[in-house]
Amino acid sequence: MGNTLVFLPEAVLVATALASALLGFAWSKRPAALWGLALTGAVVSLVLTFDLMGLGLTHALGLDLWNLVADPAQGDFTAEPTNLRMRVDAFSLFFHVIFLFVAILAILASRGFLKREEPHQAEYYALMLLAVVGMMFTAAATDLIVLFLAFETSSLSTFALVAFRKKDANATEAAVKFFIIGAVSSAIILFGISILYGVVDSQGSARATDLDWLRASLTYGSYQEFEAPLVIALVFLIAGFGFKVATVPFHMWAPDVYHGSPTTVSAFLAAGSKKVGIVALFKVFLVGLIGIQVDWVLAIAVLAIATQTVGNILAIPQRSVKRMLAYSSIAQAGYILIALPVGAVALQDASNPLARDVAVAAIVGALLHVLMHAAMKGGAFLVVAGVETRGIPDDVEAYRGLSKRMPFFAFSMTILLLSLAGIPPLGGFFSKFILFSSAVSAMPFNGWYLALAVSGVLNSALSLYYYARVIWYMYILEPEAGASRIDAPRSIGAAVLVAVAVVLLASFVMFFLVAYLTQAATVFFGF
Amino acid sequence: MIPLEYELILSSLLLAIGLYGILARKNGIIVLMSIEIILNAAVLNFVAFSAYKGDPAGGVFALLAIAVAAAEAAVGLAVFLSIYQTHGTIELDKVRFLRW
Repeated sequence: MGNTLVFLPEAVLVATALASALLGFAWSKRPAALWGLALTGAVVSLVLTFDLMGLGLTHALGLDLWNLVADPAQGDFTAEPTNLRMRVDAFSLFFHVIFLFVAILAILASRGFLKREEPHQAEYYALMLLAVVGMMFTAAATDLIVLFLAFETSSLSTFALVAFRKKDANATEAAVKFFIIGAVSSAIILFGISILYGVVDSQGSARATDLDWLRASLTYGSYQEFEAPLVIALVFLIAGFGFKVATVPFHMWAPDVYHGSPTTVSAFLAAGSKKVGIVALFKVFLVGLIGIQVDWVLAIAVLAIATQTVGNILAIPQRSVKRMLAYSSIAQAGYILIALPVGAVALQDASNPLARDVAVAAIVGALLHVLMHAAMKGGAFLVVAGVETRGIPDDVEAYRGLSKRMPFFAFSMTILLLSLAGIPPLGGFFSKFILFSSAVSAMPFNGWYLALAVSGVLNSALSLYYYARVIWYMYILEPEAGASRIDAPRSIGAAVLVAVAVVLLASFVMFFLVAYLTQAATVFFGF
Repeated sequence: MIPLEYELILSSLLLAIGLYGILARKNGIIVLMSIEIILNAAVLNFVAFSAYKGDPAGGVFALLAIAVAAAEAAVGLAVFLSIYQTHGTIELDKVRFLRW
């Protein structure tokens, strides 16, 4: 036992998922009970994760979970979970909280979104919880193979989740596209890992795919710049993870899948599943492959700019709100990708305090934006879900005068969209500010980093156009004659309220958040 | 012992065949088989490197990858079954309601 207790939150989730799948046979007529079970499991797991962060609630039970978290700052790499090739530290805990937060939002809203008589609700909750377990293990992995397996756990669950309404032609089509893209990208990732495994000298120990080992052994002391096998492996890894994050040449599937899936699942995918690709990119590139950064920094920087621009430009002509949100989430992933090239300057000259500060700032900005994006995008998709349950389609025309018909949803959507655009008092502003200013501060290392910041700022301005259009439809235009005020499902309203609260209140706890994230980023780089 | 180059050439060929199948063929099952071929190319790489380096870890990864491939095939077949029930076909070019 011992330190494996740090996986207590995941264990709770697995137990809840299995219980839900089994109880589904007995409770098929009582979806509310299944919903309560899934929600309880996710909330308990979130509380335990907060406890691991230092809340101290389990002290009374004699568990003292927070003592178990690995702290590499004190040379604590030998905690027992290392044998499992996973490490729970401040960085992975932050991602655990994000994944659980998104899952709680999606599960909370499912009560109002799924119809009472809909079949297979037990499996729906079980798959969602298992996907979260895979995501959490991905964030904790310190070895490429464990990372791949955890990644697959979450992907396989989400494939089935998209096809949950198996009588709905749009949903099955989205599932087929999602499955083919997802399976091809994992096959490609595995091929890239197999080449890395062959290239890296493990010196007789079974650690050729350990990220810290890769970081120590893949350097320009022992390899040339642009050495062929490494470049091939990098191409496969960038393409594979690029598919998952929906970076630009590999983004075509995302709008189709987000549009076709049940909307709570879209929220879960856009806000949660996409972040798995991002955490995997961070782990693989900023920890494992940082020593050979010249080979990949330019490629990822170009991908980041292309992703922002193409995502925003394609979002403009969309009439469907769901597709617009899907394209905007492609663009938002592009902003987060800025952190990879900027963070990579850290090891160029790790003794230089400025390099360290810039790299830490980039990671802090990216993590903050991951959190904010989870709240903003999750909330926005749930507003669409809530509006959809009252028979209003997701076409922007149908949102005409929504402020008179569903005032709370229209107001929440406005806050979330303004925050996505990065309007100052809201949470989305701070994360973009830190992210872009880290790119500006990286200019002493390479003047071209300014391009990343400029592209980010211009793209944010561009995105305001299509966000504002939805607000214009909701507030300025009058509803059609005869359209009356409608009540929204309460559970979806509650989930949206949570997301809006995070976006609004983030600015008040910003100091605390940034302090925690600075610690997480420091742990992540192992300074 | 077979030289490492032969095994790597074979795995590259398998990768190329798999990618061709995914891009050029429209039948869902054939696409699924092509994905499995790519996974097997990676498995072959792991085993070849493992034998070459005398490092047993590669063989373990190969087994894990085979398990993942099996799970993926199961989910994939289920997804194709459900699309057959809604669309009456698994020809991927005929399945097109959603467009960008």
